[in-house]
Amino acid sequence: MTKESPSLREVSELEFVVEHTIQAPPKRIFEAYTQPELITRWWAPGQTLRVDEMDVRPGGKWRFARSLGQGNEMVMHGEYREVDPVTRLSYTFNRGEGNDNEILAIVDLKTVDDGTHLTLRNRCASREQRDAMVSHGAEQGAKAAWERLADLLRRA
Amino acid sequence: MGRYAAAGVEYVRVAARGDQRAVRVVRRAVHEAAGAVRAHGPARAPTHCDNNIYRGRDRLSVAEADVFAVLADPTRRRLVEVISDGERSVSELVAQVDIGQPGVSRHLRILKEAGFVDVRTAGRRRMYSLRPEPLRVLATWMRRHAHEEVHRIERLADFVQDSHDPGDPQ
Repeated sequence: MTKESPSLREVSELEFVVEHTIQAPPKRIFEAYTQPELITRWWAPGQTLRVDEMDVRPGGKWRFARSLGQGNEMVMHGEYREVDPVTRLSYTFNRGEGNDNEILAIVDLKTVDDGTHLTLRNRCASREQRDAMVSHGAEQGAKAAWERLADLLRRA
Repeated sequence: MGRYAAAGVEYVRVAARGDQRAVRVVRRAVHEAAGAVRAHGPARAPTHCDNNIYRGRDRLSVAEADVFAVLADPTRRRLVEVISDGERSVSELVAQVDIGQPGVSRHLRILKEAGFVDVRTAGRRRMYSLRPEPLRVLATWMRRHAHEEVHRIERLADFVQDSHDPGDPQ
C-alpha cells in the first residue's frame, strides 16, 4: 500500500482543495461517508464519535458529537446538499452549535486505475453563494464578493 | 457544553439579532468564560495558536467567535462585501441592501465596534472602509480547518484500504 499524503491546495484564503488517490473503489468510500456505523470509525481521531443524526438525502441533517473528555464534547453539524451515489456528496459543515461558521464541502469520487481519486473542496462563503455553488458547480460558482475579500486578504 | 461554549452560543444568538447593548453584555460573558477556562487551565483552553493540531483545535477562539457572530447577519455580510470593493458612504450602502438607513447605521456601528470597518468624515458624509484584521482571523480558522480535513482524508484512506479484507480487526 502506498503511503502518500493527501495534497492540499489553497485556492484562496477562504477556499481549499484536498486531493488523494485511495486504493479502494468509490462505492466503499461513498459508504464510509454515508453509513453511521462506518463513519464513526474514521471521521474523528480516536473514533470517539457519536452520530446523533444522519439523514443522508438532499436537505437532510447530520449531527455528530465528539467526546473531548471531562464531560466536554464538540458538536459538528450540517445539512446534506447533493447525494449522488457513488460520485458526489456535498454537505454544509458547522463547528459548534451555531450556523455562522458554515462551510460547504463537496466530495467528488472518480474511478482511476488504482482505485479512487477523491477531491474534497471546502469553501467558506455566504449562504447565497454556497447555494449558487451547488447549482452551478464549484468552478464557476460565485466568483464574487468573497473572492474580492480573499484578494484583499492576500494584499493585506 | 462548557461555560465558554455556552456563552459563545448565546453570544452568536444575540449578535444575530443585532441588539448592540445585548451584544456587549454577552461578549463580556464570553470573555469572562474564556478567562475562566484559561485560569483553570485544562488542555482545552480556546486558542487558535496552539501548535499541536490535535489540541484545542475543536474550539473557536474568542476572536473567531466574534468574527463569525458579526458575519452571521446577512445584511452585515453584504455590507462587508460591498465595502470590500472600496470606500462607501452610508447612502451608497443603503442603496445596496434591503433595509433602510437607520438599520444600515446600526449594522455599521456593530461592524465599527468589532473592528471590521474604519470610518472618516468627508464634508457631510461618513465614509466607511474595510479593515482586513477580522477577516484574517477567518482565514486562519480556514487554514486550520484545511489541515484537519487532510488528516480526515488520511484516516478515511487508512480505513477503507484496511477494511478491504473480511476479518478486518475492529
